[in-house]
Amino acid sequence: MFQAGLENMFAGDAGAVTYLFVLCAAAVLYVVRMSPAGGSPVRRFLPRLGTGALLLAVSRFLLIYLFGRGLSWTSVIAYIMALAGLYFLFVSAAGVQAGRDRPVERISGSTPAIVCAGACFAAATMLAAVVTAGMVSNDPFWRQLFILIDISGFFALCVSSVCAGGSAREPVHPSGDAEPVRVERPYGGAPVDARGNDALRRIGDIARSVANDLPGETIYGEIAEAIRRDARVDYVLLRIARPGDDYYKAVACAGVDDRRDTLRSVRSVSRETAQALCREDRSCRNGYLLRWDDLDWERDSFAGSSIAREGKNVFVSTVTEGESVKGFFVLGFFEAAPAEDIHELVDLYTSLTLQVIQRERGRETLSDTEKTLAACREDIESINQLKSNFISIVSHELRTPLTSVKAYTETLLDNLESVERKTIRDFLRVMDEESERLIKLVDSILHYSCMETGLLKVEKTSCNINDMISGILASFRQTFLENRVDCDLRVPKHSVIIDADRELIQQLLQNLLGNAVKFTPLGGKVTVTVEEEAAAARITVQDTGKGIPEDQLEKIFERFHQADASNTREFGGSGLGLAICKNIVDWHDGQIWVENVKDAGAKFVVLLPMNNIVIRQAPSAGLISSVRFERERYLTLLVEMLSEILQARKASIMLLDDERQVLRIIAAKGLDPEFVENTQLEIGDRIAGRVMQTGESLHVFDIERDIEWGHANNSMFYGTHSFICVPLRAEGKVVGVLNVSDHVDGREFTDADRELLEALGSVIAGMLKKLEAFERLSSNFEDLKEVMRKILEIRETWGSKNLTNLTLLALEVGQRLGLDEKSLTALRLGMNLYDLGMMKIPRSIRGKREELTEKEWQTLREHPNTGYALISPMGLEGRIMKIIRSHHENFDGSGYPDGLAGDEIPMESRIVNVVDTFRALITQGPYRRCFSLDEARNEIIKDSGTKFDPKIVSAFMKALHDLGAVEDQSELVLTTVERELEERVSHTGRVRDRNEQQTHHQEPVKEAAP
Amino acid sequence: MNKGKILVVDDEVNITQILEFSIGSEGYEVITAQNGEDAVDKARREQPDLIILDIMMPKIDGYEACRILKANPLTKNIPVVLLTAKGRDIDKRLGYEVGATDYIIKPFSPNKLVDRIHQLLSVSKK
Repeated sequence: MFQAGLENMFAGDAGAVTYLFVLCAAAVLYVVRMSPAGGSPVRRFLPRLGTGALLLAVSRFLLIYLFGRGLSWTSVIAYIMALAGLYFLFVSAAGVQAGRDRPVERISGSTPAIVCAGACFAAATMLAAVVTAGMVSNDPFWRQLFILIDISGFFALCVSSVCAGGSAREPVHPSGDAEPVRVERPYGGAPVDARGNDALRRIGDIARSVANDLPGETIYGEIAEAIRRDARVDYVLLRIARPGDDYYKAVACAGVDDRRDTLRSVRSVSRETAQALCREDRSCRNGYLLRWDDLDWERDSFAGSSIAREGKNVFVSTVTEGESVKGFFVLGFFEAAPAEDIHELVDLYTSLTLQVIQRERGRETLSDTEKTLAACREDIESINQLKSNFISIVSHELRTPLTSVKAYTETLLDNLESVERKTIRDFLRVMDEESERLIKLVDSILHYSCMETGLLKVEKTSCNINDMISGILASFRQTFLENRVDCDLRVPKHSVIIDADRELIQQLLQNLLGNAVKFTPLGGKVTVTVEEEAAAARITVQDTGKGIPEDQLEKIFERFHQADASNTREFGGSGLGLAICKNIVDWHDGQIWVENVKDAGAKFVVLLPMNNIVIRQAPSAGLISSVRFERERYLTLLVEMLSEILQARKASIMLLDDERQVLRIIAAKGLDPEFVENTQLEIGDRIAGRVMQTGESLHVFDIERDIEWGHANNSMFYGTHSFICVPLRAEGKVVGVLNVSDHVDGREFTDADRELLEALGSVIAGMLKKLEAFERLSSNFEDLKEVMRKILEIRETWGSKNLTNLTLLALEVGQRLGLDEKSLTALRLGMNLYDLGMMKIPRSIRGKREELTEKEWQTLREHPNTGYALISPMGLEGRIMKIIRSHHENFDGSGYPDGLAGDEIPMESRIVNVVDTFRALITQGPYRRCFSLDEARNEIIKDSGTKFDPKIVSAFMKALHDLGAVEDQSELVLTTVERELEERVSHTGRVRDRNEQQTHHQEPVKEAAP
Repeated sequence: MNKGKILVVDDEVNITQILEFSIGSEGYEVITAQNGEDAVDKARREQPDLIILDIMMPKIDGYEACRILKANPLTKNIPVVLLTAKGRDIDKRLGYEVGATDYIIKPFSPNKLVDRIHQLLSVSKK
């Protein structure tokens, strides 16, 4: 039977012999033609080729042998084996051609030509199988047909392989505008085009840069440039999100005129925006093909530059690590999807970029660690220094009373018989006093160490600050008389009550007053002021001493700090007094700082929070405690910010409980905790419910006179005459409401207040959304908390009232210039936020009396940038962000940080610049006197056309005039503006009595002149 | 029985008082000053035989006062005893550097101080 088969194969059928011959010839042809002589691919693929041929021969032999015996399953299996063998052969061949190690991947991975050819071949052989299986008999006609089909199938294989190999080697040029120049590889292998060579050189350069440890920015720049050249595009921009950052910040660009400038001015893109744009339906292999018009961030950034190209496409290639997108390249511009080879090159560059990102991250971690270590070392050193200071100061302080005791005792003992009774009494009195001093000193050291180690128990009760201060002043009366120092006390008529530890606050006040008396020369004056603000009680103690050296302003609260060691006697005490004050204030989450008042000594300011904020526990009990704590701190700050900006005593945030469709208070200030916990409002129920239902703000000027709400039982606003309730919108849906009531000044809320609250509504909705997201991620809120802390700080430093009036002035100017509603809203928020960056500048610089050094100026000039970076986690509208960034840009381009000029500066920023300059001029600067109104006005007119837009200056002058600030009572122009404001208010309702003492106490603002 | 004139300088009234008492009862004439400036002034005018000087004082401290005294030909030869709570070696060395004759650390014994004064004055008289 074996013999019969052989006979059939070799002698019986000429077709079969021909067929085998062709097979072998083709195999040899493949090997010789496709591999570099003696190259390793031959060695690697020859065995596979051989196996394929062998399989083919065996199966063919079996088939022919079985022919005579009729059809069976064995024949079908044999034929399938043959098929597999052929496929393998074909695969190997294609693999050799492409010069790749893993041919299968190459086939299945891409090149459609190969796949098509494979499919054709498979179809042809399958047909042959059917013919064989179904119809074959010994009829020579059918046999000839079968062989013919087989041979043609094989030729199909040959042709397809050659074609496929060709297409793999010879990429089609994307734009087709230039024929690539072909050069032979030096080692005589397959030819590569010149561009490939250039690309290789560039990649080599980048690799060298990486190896040489060049900074990340440089390498990113090189990569961007390389991509631009290799992909032949107009511009390339790389954005990267730093770990934990929610924003992709531009780090490198190519193809623009001024790289550094572009990098500074192009917008950062939030993750959300990027995700929303890079949708699945726009994906294009490893990137996304997007329309230029869709990238509003890019369009805005490049508006007016030569890059703006309407109607074109850009290719966005993402740099991903695992699941997360670390950054992305934007390549502009394309008519259609980029060609295959561009994809490959860009892929290569993105993987390079990822490596650099990883390297940078590692480096950052390392430098962080180094910094931490350095900080630790510094800490240890300073602790050491403190220790020796402690020893020298305390030993000195202990020795002084001991000296007296010792000297008096000894003298008394020696002269007991000779001295008079009166002298003995005098001596004993001195000894008694000095021992008392010793005891006090030891006590204060112990007390301090208790606070330091956290052993102190703080028991918070409600304290009436007015009473406490009066009490302490009474106990100081004797001291005041002895030192012939006057004391001026200014407190509001109503009691200022805070939640605090009575004893600690008492000690704080005692220390501050004692300090003030000590520094005030004979005949001087100590002024104590208490003011109530929305979020805090502000206590200031001002003396008429010589002030504190500028460089010591921040240090004097450190332990054992002595402004000048030899001056201990003059500075007095153990060097612990102020450190204890600081500790007490810290225990109450307050703030304490000192300022020098020009020609009037030092002013200590203490802010003690009212602590009347209630946060409802999150319903999701599963939150880990640290996250819950974070959430509480975050909401606390949010409510505090809300009440501070609106100057409201009561404020609350209500959100809709989705499951039960009721409104609940999630955070509130000034409301009873039980009330917060239990309140539930149906939609449409009462005021908040109504706002929720209609989505319209509700503003009641005076509830008693309000027809609709006058008789409703609004227990929530009990005792309140004026309030505003605005809806919180997220993605167009009302998700809750914001309530404010009880203005700090007792006046009614105005329309301006309502508009401000509405504007804040969108910001707060965004921030709440972030909170939700963070809760899920159990990440931290540090960035956002920082922003809110600074917002509170700016208001504390400037005085909320001043800010409100300035905002009013800016809006007046904006209206005159015909800004639309949206711009006015942006301006309103912008005015509240623009100088946030300033709060990051150390007090030693912004409060400095002398001329600033060049370096300090540089730091100061950074503040718009700092503010911009600080505020970006809030996710504000681009327009507000621009106001903050550009509020120090001058009309003639001489400003900072971007040196914009003319219309490039947003209109709102130009307004803010004028108003801010005006503010700086009429308030007392750290190193210059304050200007009178006329002087300030002239100063601004003088700079019209250079620093300021003349259009805005003229609108500003008119606004100033109309707001009634016309008298030459320059000092407090703002009070005039304020008066105007109050007059407006009194048109609509009544103004409650304001405390007279409070109104004339204006805050001098500490800030460098622009 | 005026044995000599002694200037006592200290910003603590208690200290000047007790020194006035104990040195005075030994037959010396005692004048006092509350700060460095005052001390330099009085030393020039009164030409005391010895000065007892505190270091930690407002305005001009003891070191500085001593330096000024030693720089002035009128007061250059008056012996200065530093009487201070600054007890470290470095403070002491600094004291001798500015020209002090002796350095006594607080708390001190008035008896021993008086002994020291006797001794110093007898040396300077020889």
